[in-house]
Amino acid sequence: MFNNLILAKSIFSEFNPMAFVDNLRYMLSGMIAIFIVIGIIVLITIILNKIFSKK
Amino acid sequence: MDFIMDVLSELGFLVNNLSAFVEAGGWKYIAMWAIGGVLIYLAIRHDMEPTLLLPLGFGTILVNIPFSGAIGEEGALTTLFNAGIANELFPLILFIGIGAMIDFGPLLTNPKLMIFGAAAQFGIFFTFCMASMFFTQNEAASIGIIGAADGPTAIVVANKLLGADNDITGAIMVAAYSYMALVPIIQPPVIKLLTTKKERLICMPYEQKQVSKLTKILFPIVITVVAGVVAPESVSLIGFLMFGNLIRECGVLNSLSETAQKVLANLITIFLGITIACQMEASKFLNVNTLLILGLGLFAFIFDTAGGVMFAKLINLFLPKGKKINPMIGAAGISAFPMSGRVVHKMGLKEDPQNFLLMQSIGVNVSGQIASVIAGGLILSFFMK
Repeated sequence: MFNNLILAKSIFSEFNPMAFVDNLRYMLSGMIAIFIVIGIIVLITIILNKIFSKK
Repeated sequence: MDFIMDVLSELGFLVNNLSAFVEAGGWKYIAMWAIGGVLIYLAIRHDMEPTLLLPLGFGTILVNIPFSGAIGEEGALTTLFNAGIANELFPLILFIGIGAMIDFGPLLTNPKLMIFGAAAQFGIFFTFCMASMFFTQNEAASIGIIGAADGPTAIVVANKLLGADNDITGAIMVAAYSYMALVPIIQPPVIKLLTTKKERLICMPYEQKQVSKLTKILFPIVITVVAGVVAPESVSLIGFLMFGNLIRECGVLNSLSETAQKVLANLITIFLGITIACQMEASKFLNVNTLLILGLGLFAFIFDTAGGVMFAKLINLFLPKGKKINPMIGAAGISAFPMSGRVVHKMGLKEDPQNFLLMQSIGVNVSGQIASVIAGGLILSFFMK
């Protein structure tokens, strides 16, 4: 129990709100990257559908 | 008399073990047994991901018996853990089974739906930012990936970023699987909070289109190449998933496809659940970090759902009347397949018994499966040194 209290204290003493702001760039670049990749996959799928669609 | 004394002295180890149990913090073991019991109860009584929660619950009890022979250098569970989880083998093999189960037909019929799968990964990155206030960057990234709503991806990413022996890996794995089971409880209130009744009533007629067999065969190959080029770290994840799907769609490996869907997936699932329990030792699990991780995991699921719904609402601003999208389908973009798709379908039916959203929501749901794996690959690209 005492160890947990020490751990809790250490977690909140290491609380660093600025890390949220610092890491927002990863969120932005991650979301942009995922939209780009999915966008490419959507385009390729549309093209595949067009080329191989059943007449 | 001597014989009786001998027997009693031989039985002395029972007393020794019992006193060692109390000295070693017996309440912790009892708490872990209770947690194991709750997991087993949820699996059996409420049918929540029983294939995972039941082995996990039993395994939790197994590893938290003082001086358990199941763990440790020669313990069977530790051996299984090193053979299948530490090197990511089990989750990847499970992906072959999952890939063989997924029918990408609804997605190929309407590929534009895939974009919602991307939007619903918002929770991963947002939770990463939140977690970074309390944890190191790699730990925060591993916690964020709980939002992938995809157990195998969470295991692979956490293992690669933190190593299998890290103290928080167990909590991450447990959160990933537990919240997947809780999707029918977590998602509906978030969806209702973010949508109006009018929006939930939007009907989306489903146009049945034929998708050629060649398209279905080329799709997994193309996805592997595209995702692999952009995020090479995701190649094993996406590759195994798509390999399973290729087996399903090629049409000449029906027997293998059936084996992958049933026997292989079931076999790995049995071992995966009970082996993950290796990380549920009281000394590693019962601490404030675990509570924080469970809280952040819930946060990730909520913001995934919100990301998908809000993106659909945004798209609706640009769509003409009559072409609007029911924003609830955005919530199906989280990877928990097929629960999330079914949740959205049921919510649609509850609002209007004639509003069938199943095909669209399942289409978005499978796209979430792909997007979550890509998100895992991106996280690895960012933080794996």
